[in-house]
Amino acid sequence: MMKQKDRITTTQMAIYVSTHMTALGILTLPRVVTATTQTPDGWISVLLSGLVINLFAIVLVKLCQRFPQESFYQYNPKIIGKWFGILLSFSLITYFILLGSFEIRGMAEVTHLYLLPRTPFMATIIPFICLGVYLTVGGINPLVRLFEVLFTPSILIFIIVILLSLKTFEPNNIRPVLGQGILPVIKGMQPTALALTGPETMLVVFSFMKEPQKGIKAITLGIATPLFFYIMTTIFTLGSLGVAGVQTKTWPVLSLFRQFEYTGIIFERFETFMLAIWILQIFTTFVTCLYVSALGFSQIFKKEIKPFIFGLAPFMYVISLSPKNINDFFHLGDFLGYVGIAFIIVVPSIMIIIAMLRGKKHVPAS
Amino acid sequence: MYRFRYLILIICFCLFLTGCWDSHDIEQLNIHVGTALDKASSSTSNGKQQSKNAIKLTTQSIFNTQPTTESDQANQEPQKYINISGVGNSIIEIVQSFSQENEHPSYGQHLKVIVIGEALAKTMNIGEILDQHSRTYEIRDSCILLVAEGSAADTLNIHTDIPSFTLIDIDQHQYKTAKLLPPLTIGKAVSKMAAHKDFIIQGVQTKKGKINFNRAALIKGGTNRLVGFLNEEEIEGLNWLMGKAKGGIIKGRDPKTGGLIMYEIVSVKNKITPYLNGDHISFDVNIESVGRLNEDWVLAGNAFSNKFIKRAEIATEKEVRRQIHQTLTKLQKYQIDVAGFNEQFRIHYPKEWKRMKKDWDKRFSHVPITYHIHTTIRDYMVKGRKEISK
Repeated sequence: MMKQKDRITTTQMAIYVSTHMTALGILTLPRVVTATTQTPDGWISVLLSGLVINLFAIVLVKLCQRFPQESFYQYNPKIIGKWFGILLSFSLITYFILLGSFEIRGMAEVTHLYLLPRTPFMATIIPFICLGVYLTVGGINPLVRLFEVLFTPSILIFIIVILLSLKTFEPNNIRPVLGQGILPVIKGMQPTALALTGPETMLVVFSFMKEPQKGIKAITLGIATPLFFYIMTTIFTLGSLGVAGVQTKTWPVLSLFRQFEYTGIIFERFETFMLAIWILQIFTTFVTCLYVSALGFSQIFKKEIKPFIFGLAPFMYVISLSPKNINDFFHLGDFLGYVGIAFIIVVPSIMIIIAMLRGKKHVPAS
Repeated sequence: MYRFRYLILIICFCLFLTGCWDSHDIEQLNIHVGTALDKASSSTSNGKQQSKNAIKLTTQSIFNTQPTTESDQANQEPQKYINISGVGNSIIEIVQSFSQENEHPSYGQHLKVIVIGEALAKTMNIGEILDQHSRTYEIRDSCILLVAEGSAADTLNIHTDIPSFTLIDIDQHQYKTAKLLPPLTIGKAVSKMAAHKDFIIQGVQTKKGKINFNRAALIKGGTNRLVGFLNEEEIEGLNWLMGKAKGGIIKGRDPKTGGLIMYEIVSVKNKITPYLNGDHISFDVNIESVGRLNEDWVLAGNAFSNKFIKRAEIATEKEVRRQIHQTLTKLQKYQIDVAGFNEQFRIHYPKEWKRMKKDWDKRFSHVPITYHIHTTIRDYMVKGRKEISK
């Protein structure tokens, strides 16, 4: 049984979901969306898919609320049977392992490109993983407390830096709104998948909530914050680079911050700040992935979590180095985006229907 | 046990605090601040085999000036920069060849300006020329782009402290003159080329070691080649048309006496409205400007009276109208739409734009454009009249 101290508040839960969501997806979001829409309406696609995801996340919370004391790994055998349940648990674990590895590879790629061009991947990834293991061993509480600490500075720096990009902003680039009708916007919702993965982590960590009845509030806040970032980023990147320009850049958001310089104040260049908070956000996502997957193993095999954390770390290192080039890496991202969306939309909806039909619910022991 | 833990901690410190893979001493770097790209002349074949599309790249680097001990150099001010050139078919191969010739490695993070020579811009695709500069992580998209009339390398040889810095400093003077275009960064240029848009780059001219920003290069979208130049007046007209003028003077003639009236621009706002009637496109441009009377050569002029102010406004509007007409005639002649007509058409008629964007330049060349200019002289500074009527 879980220890009583392993409980997190509603605010902490919201921060947890939002830091888990903001990761690699944000850097490529304007490009992938605009490449599909071909209009400046990408931000509407992001908004719409955010709303859809939020809707299904509420279903997800409803499912979790039927079993407030248990995680997905523990209650899914009760709904769909032992073997299917274990299969589903393992696919969720695999997904989280892949996602965590994908995030560290992305971190290494970007650091390698912009900050440390001659430093080998190993030298950035290994300390990253070591720190992640060190944090994860402490359990859920140190995790969310760190997220709380990082949350406010991240938002502040993000807003300041993105507003500085107004220097190169051209309003004509994001006009006209809905010029080609609604169809491109609907098409553009599909590639937002990777950026919007994150709420599925709630399947597992919901069981830590102090007040499970406030789950919907937590997840809505948790999704709204990154969604606001995403929309801002998409609008500003499109406004600065234009519909055509944004599609030519590998990391359009980082290119945005390299469009301008401010001379005369202490700092001239601001992409470093953005990279700093962004690497922290990648770290948080990686850590949650590591924790949630290790927790899965420990709950399935009913063993201590520590050996699984230590065991998974080198495994994730190897996976993170497996994409051969940056295109393979982006393809892995697309794939993970769709799997993540499946775990938010398809799995909870089916599960809740089966649970309702079979009348499965957590029965309080007392 | 604790001692063992401390030992691990110390080993970790040694591993992670020893330093950075990518550190370079700043004194050891060859910091590039400006680059000039020219068409290589066929005579400069220094032993190497050059194909016909060779580029000559000149880069300007600044370095740490050490006080020289030699007596003959002591009274002479040391040069703060050095220009190196190389010839090759691709940019990166030339830049790399510098590493074989210089003791300090090249460092592009502080590249501020790229100057493209006229001959090169006329014969080669600027998108291809700038590919390396816009792709490498080393060079920022905020780097400024210029086109040189004649040789680009000469612009990095003008008699100033550091020529590259002079170039970018002059390029920032829009608040003082309407005869300069807003600086075009490489990032913006690349975005425009990606969208097959026509664009315009500030031109520079060098004469006897002095520089003059008196032209602007018209670049045709799609082929990304230079097709013509605008002169100072036409740049001014373009700035009015786009509402980009932030300062500067308009030289009008008083309709009554013929005396000069100098109008100082404070702000210019424009509104371009496209009209579509069947397949017939037309544009209506409304320009509103606020300014002040800066100088007049009308002896009896009394700015305290609104009559005179009105006359001055009419004089200004007439001059602006003439400039805009001149600019538009030239743009339509070259079939280059850099004043934002295409943008406004795209915004107002997005569905029709999809159909018309392919041959937009041709359509633009015979589109009727009407323009209305309205200037307001808000004040006349500390003096209103030169003499009082007897």
